[in-house]
Amino acid sequence: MKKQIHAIINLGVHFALHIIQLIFRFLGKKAPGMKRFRENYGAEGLSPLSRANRENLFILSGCIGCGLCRMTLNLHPAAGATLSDPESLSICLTRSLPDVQAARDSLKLSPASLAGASYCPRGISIAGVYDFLQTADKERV
Amino acid sequence: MDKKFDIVVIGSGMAGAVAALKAVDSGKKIAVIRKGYGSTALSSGAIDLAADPLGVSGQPLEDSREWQKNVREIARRDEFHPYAVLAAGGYAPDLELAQALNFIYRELQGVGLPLFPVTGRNLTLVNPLGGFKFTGLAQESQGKGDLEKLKGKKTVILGVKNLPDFPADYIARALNDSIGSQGYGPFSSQEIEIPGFGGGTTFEAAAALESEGVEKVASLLAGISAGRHLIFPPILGALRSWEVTETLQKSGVLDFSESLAVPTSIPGYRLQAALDRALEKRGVSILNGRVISATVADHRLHSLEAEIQGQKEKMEGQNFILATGKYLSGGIERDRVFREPVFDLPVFIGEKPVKEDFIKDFLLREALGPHPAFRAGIRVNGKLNPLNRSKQVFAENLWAAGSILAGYDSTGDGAGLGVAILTGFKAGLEASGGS
Repeated sequence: MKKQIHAIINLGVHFALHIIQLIFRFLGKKAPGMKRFRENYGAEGLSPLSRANRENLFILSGCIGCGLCRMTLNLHPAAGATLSDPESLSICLTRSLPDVQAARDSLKLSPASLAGASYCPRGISIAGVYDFLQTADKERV
Repeated sequence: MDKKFDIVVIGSGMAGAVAALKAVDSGKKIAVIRKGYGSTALSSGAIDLAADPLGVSGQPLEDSREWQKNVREIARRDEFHPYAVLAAGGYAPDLELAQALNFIYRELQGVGLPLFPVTGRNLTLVNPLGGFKFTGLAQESQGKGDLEKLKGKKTVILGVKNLPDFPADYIARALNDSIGSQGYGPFSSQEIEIPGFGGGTTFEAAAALESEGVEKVASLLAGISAGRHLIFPPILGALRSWEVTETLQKSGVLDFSESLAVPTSIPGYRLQAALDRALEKRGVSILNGRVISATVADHRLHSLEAEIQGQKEKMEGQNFILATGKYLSGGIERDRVFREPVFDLPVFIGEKPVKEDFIKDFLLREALGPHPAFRAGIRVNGKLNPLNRSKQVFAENLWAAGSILAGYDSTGDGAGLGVAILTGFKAGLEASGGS
């Protein structure tokens, strides 16, 4: 009986704390978990991704690095860029998220190249790659 | 929006394109739905029909060159190979393949991609790795470099400045070392410079050659080409290859060829682009999108739901052909489990259905060995209808073609595009009820 009362009080206290937490979150405070995540991993460039971009990440990482898009879409790498093509993205997506930002700065797409996204054997949209780079960066700290 | 067709082909690599081109002969309304280019665009650009199943890799054995004999031998020895499956269905794969080759030869010729004349013998062509391979049919620019025809002739391997993908020095040395003593060559190398090419891959080199560089290159080579055969890297034009060839010939460079390619491949891209032109010329609708689901009832496939340019659409058809390729094009997936994503057909390796099996059980210790995993695919009956888990026909109005078929490795066993052409041809014929 004593243990049951203790458990009920414990649950009640935590429920009240949870309600207070929800109110603070509703009033604009960010979740401390996310804050801690960003503090811990922001410097390494590991940023949280939205659900939409997590799904995109799965599709984009189907790239087999064949290079056809580079040929057929007439991409224009920026001078001195190290990541000048979408297939490089497949490597950094799986091994080095900070390079996503570098890819964003390197990959320059013309409207014509965005229009002609029908060559990839894996059906990966070049416009999708471009959107991912833009939005994933905005989701950073 | 609903789309109604007589025949819907899923996939547009060599198998899908040949199926659609053959089916359109019957006057039916054909559509091809595809995610993008097939892995044909990544091929060497030549069409491998059948390597000698008894041959030793890298050795130019005399008796290995008759591809029709090799097809018969494969059909006799390997019961799961598509050539054997068709033979079991009452076809003569060697004779039917010759018929299918004549068909695709004419189709490609008609859209400006000349092929080297089909003979009964495999050609022996140089690759960028310093070796050579046997291939049944090649683009004209490649086939002229048949080493058998060049025996005893001085052959120059041309390197391009700032193009590391084609090490001409190494290739010439390797060829002299491996086959020089057997009367091939002699091989030497020379470096040329393409104006406007500051470095990159064969794609950038081909673009530079096409845009402005070819005339200057031709004038440089006119002096050294007399009495020699020149083998270029695989860069002789991507979109306007005939212009490159013509310019070279007009400048007096007459005896030249182009090496086979490894991915990323200009000749492969050229081959796929020509298939696209042939489909367009014959009035086949090409839809860029992906199949999401299918409606199957009473062993018949009734319609597909597809996402085409972001819109969901229903595609109705009388008959359907599945030619979505293997791992590269996503026709067979191995993401935790083996699966065929369009119809969820069972995947087989040999006789064994595989799903959650451990991948390592199907890989050999030797990296370049004939890994069973690469022979995964769906099984079909002798008429190319896919089979379900009970080994019954999944849908009587569905046929399958190309590297999605189990029993062969489309990239490694020397019969890649040959199987694609033969099974595509047969599937197109069966689906259209033609003869």
